[in-house]
Amino acid sequence: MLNMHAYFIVSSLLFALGFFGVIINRKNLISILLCIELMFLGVATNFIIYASIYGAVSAKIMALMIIVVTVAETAVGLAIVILIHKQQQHIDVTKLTRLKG
Amino acid sequence: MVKTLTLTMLFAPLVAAIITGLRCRTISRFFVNIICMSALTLSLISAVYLYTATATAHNIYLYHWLNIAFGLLVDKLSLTLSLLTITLTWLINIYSMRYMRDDPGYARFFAYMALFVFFMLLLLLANNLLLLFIGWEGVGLCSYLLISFWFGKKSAVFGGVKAFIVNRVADTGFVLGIIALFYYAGPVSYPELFIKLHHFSPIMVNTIGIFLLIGAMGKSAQLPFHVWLPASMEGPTPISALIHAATMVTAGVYLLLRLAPLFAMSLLLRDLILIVGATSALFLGILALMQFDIKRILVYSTMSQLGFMFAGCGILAFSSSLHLVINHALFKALLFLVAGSLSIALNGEQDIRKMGNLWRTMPILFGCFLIGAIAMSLGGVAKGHIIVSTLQGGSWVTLYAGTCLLLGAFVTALYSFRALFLIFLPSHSALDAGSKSSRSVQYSVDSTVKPRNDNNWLQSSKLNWQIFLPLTVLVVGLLIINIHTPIFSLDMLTTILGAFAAWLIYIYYQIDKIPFVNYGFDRFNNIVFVNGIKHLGNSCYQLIDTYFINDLLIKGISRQTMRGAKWLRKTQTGFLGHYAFLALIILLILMLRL
Repeated sequence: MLNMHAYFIVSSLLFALGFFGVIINRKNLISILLCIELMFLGVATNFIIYASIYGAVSAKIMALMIIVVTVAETAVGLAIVILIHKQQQHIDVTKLTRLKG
Repeated sequence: MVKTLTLTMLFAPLVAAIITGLRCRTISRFFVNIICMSALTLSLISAVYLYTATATAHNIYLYHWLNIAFGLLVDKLSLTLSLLTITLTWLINIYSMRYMRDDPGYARFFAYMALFVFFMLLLLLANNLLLLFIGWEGVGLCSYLLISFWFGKKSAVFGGVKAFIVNRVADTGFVLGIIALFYYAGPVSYPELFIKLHHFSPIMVNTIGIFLLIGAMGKSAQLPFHVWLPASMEGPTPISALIHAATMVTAGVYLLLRLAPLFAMSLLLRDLILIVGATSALFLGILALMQFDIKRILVYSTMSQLGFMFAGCGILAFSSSLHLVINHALFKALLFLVAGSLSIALNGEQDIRKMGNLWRTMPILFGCFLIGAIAMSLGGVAKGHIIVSTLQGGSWVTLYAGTCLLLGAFVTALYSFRALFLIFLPSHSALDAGSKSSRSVQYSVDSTVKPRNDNNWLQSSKLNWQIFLPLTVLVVGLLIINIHTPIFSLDMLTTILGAFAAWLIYIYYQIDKIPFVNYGFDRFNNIVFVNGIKHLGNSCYQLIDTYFINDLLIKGISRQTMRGAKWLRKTQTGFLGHYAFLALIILLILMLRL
């Protein structure tokens, strides 16, 4: 079971990397998008690990679904980034604080 | 059968009041007369039938509300007074058709009057104190509405407000009494209440009794609370006759009679009632001697007679009290109606100094007033019985009360004959008006009376059958009730003495410079209560309203909310990272909890 632990550690690391990338990133919107992708990958990896443990096909399908959703989400996210860049001429997160109280 | 009749008697005036009251702007006088008179006649017939047909007490159940069984108690006491109320209202309604003939608020007046009858009957017929209280407040409301009937007149409005406020003050005591009674005995009807009374301790009885007595004193205008009744004379005279002389003000006496077992249980309560009644009987009677407005003379005498009734309850002479209530209702209504007729005939004049020598021009009114004055001085068999049994009481309280009552009876005769002599007999003002120029005020009587001398005012359109029918019925009723009055009695003695004294003072010696006193109750109330409450209200306004509610609560809450918001909005940084971090922390906390 030790190798299973290793798999889980890898998927958790992927997720944590993405998450802290979102939190610590101060500058670039696109890198935030990339970090979100990383979190998705972590989750998908998790699904695949469970699928190989229990032999469940539905989990594999779920992983595929996640990848498809991620693609769509990235497309939408990139479109937003492009729109922001058109309007503001930059994609700096620290300057996009319109909702500040 | 009894239930149907009772409900008919009770609700017919209410229906009339609702119909005429809601349409009072558009309805014609003819329809007002028809609706009100038919409702009252229906009510009267039911009352007469019930009075003659029912021998035992009936406790009629009506409905349940909040675990209280509301119902009507039909027994001899409530039926007698209901019959009296309806009869008087019926007569005075006829009288009012003439009296209010030219008034723009004709329909409104009769609607109020019918509403008053409903509430008065509710008060009389209620089988527990809560229902009685509804009637009690209802008649108070109608009294207020009718006193300030001519709401364009400032004094009428003040009078109405004064009556209302003084009554509310006394009603506070009444409400506390009812609450205490319900707390100890539960919301039960009178018969059950009287059974439960035996388990009461003396302190409980005294507390409840004193609170209820305060309510009764307020309604019946006894000494500390009497100030509202003279103010109530600003209303139309038929109202003074019906509400403020014959029916509503006797509600306090009715309360004492109704709760007689309660009040009879404690010597303290009996003595209190006796002292209040006797003191009012004498001292308010003396006040009647100083009035020149005929209605005010009559109203002070009303309070004095109510004092006699209270005293009767205080020495457990309940039947005498009831007798006096009936007697008083008849003769006081008669006297008020005569006063109203006089003021119609004399174009609204009510000052007895400006009248005089009217017996030749108005013999019927003179006769009616004479009978009323004699009946008032005698008070039937009841008044003498009350005085004698008080004097025989054998304690300091009864000695004081008896003396007061005896003097009160003398004063009663004095002021009733004073009014009679000054109005109807050829008094000084009419006799030697020419020689005394200083009495030019009194002299004007000739100018008001003489025209009526010429065109025989009886045939004039001023007074008609609508005036004389009620007067006749009242006189006949008085004669029937008092037919058994003994010739040689204490009352007869005081009456003759009083009449003689009145003749001596007002006709023979012509003393009319009596100093005016009113014991300063109004001034005292003004200084202590009105000013005190004004200051209290002012300081409450400053402290509670301005400082506490406005500054501290309303402004304070808004200020603190602003401050809190200013502080809290700093958490909204607008950085995505911060929000995500917060989400992580919350997620961790939730996971730890799980």
